[in-house]
Amino acid sequence: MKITGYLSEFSLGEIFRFLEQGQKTGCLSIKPVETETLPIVPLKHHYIFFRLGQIVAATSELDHQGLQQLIEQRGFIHVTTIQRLLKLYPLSQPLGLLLKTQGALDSQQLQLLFKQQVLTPIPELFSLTEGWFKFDANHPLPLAEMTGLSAPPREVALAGLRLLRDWTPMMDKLPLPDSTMISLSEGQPPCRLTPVEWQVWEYVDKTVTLEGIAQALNLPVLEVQKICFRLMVAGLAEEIINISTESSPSSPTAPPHSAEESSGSLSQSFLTGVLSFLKVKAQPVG
Amino acid sequence: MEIMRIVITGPVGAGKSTFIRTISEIEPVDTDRKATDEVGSWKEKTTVAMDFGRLQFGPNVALHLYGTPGQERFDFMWEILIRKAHAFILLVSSHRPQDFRAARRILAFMRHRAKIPMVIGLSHADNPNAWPPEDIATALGYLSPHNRPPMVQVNALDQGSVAAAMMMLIETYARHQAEQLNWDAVKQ
Repeated sequence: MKITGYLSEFSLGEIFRFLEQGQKTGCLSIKPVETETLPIVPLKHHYIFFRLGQIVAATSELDHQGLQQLIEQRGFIHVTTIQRLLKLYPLSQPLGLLLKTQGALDSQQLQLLFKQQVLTPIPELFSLTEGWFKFDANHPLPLAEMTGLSAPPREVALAGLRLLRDWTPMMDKLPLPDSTMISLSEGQPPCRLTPVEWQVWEYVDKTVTLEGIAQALNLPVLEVQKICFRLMVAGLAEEIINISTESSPSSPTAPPHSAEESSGSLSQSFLTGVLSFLKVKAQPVG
Repeated sequence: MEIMRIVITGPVGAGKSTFIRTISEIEPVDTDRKATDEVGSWKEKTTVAMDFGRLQFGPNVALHLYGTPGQERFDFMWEILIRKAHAFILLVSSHRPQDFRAARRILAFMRHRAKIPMVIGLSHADNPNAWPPEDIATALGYLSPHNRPPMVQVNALDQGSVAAAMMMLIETYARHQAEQLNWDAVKQ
C-alpha cells in the first residue's frame, strides 16, 4: 500500500493522526518542495518509521548509519566498536536494545538518542510550507536505526504545531470561528496539554462556538482556532460546523433527528418495490 | 404519494450532480434561482444551488434525490434537506486526500444533525492514486471496521453502479427501520 500527496493538501498532523489511528507500519518519506519563502527546515529527504501506529525512528538517509553516527557523536561508543559487536550479534532486534542488552548503553542514553533522533527534528518538519509525502507500508523497519523506544504521533504532532510560527499554509484547515467542538476522547485526554489548551478543552462538548471560547478566555479567535486544530490533530476533538445564516428555520444546536421522526417510516411494500426497480437498473444494459 | 427522500452529499467534485443525473428519470433540476416542487413546499424561494432528481416506480411511489450545494457552505438549505431526508450517501473521491477533511466535516455535521442511515460511496476508485477503502474510512474517523457505515465503490457515470449504491443504501435503511421497530416493540 502506498499513499502519496502534498502536505498543503493533507497536512503532516493529519497524516500522523491517520497513521496512528490506522495503526500503520511502514515508512513515511517527506520530500520538501521549494517555495518562495525561505525554508526553515533544510531541503533534504526525511524518513519517519512507524510500527503499529507509533513512531520508532527517523532519519534523513536510508543508509542505516544514522543511529550509529549519533551514538558516536554523543561520545557513547565508537562506530567501529558497534560494527565489531554487530559481527558477533547479528541484528534481530533494534540496535539500541541490542546495545543495552550488551551493557554498552543504558536507558537514559537511549532516551537521549531517541530525543535527538525523533523528538527534536520531527516537530521542526511541521514548519515545512510544502512537501511531497509517501507512505510505504511495505518498507521494512530499519532495525539499525531503531533505539527500541517509540513515541505516539499525536504527542509529536502537538509539539510540532506548538512550535509553528507561520500558520499561513494551515489557515484553510483551521476550524471555523462559529463552529463548536465535540470530544472524541472519553474522560481525560490521553496526552499532555498545555495550560491554555486545557482551558480550551474545558469548553469542548459545551456547544460554545470558538468565538465564544475566545471571548470567555480573552484570547484572539485565531489562537483558539489553532488550539482547536491541535486538539483535532491529536484525535481529541472534532469540529461541528454550525449553520451560520440567521434565516435558519431551527436553532443551530437543535437535537439530531431520526429518519422516522422527520419523514415517517416507509412501508415494506415500498422498500421491496424500490429494490426490485433498482435491481433492473443495476443490470448491465444490452 | 409515498416518497423516499435521499440526500447525496460530499465535497466539491465528488460526483454528486453526475450521480443524480445518471439515475434520475427527469432532467435534473439545478435550483440555482428557485426551488422546485418538494423543496419549494418547505421554503418558497432560495438562491442556493441544489440538484434534484426523481425516480418514479409506480403510480404513487417515488424516490427523490437531493444533492447538497457544491461549495462547503452549511446554510439553512442543508438543514431543510437533512430534516426531511430518510437516508444519505456521502460521496468521496478516493484519489483526493485533500477532500477527506471536507468529507469528515460533512460527516460530523450530518451525524450531529440527523441519526439517519448512510452509505459512503467511493468515486474514482480505479484511479492509480486512489486510497484503499479501509484507509479512507480511517481518514474519515472510522477506526473500527465493525463500527462503520457500508462503503461502496461508485462510478457516477454508470447507471448500474449508481443503482447498486442506491440499493445498498435502501437495504441499510430497511435494516435500520426493522431494528428501530424491534426496539420500539421491546420498549412497549
